[in-house]
Amino acid sequence: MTESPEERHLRSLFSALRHEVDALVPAFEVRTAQPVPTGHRRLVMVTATAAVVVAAIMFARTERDDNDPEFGLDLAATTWVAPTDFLLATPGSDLLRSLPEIDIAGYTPQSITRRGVVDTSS
Amino acid sequence: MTGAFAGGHPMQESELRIKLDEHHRDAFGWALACCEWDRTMAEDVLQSSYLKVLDGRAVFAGRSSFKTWLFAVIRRTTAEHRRRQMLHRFLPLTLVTGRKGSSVADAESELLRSERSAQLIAALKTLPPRQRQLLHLVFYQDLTIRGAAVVLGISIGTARTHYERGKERLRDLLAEEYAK
Repeated sequence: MTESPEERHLRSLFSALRHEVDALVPAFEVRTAQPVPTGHRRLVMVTATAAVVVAAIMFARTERDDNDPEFGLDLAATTWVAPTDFLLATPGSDLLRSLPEIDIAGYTPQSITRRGVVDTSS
Repeated sequence: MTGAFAGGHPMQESELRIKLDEHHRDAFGWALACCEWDRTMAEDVLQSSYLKVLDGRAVFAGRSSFKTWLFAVIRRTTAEHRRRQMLHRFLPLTLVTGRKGSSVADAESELLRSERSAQLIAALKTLPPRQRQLLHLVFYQDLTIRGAAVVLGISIGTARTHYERGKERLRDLLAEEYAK
């Protein structure tokens, strides 16, 4: 692909810049002690410490004292009555909760007719 | 220690060092371009990139040339470096980390260059990063647009668009500079 005069001009400008930069290139070396993680590690440690402190404060604020009368209730020993429970106490409601007692000691099954009337003539 | 593959077998550290040394000059130029000509930052980024390659955090799978792959590693490392710098800017971590963010202006003054090169760098700095990096890869590093697209992790169509727009914008900016 042929370059336009504009592209050739740009290439010459970049080439001149490259020539100057090449004179500044540092020698190739790989430092084993990486500069970035040193600070990074400290940053991580500080962040972790701060997180622990914040968590401790949050825990202290939400922790309940069992001796506190407000929170020290024995739930197993308490009962709760709803304020509307009185509405369920209708008149005669005790009749629905108990069985009537009928004395049938003197009767045999044959003495009771289909209609439930006791036949005492026989 | 291994960190890359060549021809299906993992490359030894010694091989990797030879490869890195071979591309060191180009890599430094690319790191400078990625770091907006901040020499201190470019050297830090280059060191971090080399360590990534040598300790196996970055693995060359042989899908592109070693140079293209190394440039992509440098680009990603620069992005990580910038994120850390942003964190340092918003949080007073200088005391914690014991490091100060490098000053672009200070580092720039270390670069001895002609007036034309200074104008070129000034113009490049005003371009969006993608356009600036693409022009650098094509004109400074002599990569094809396809190769530059691989380094930048973009499609060739997008790379062509950035190339054309960047070229046009750079021409206008340099014309303004020369007119001054």
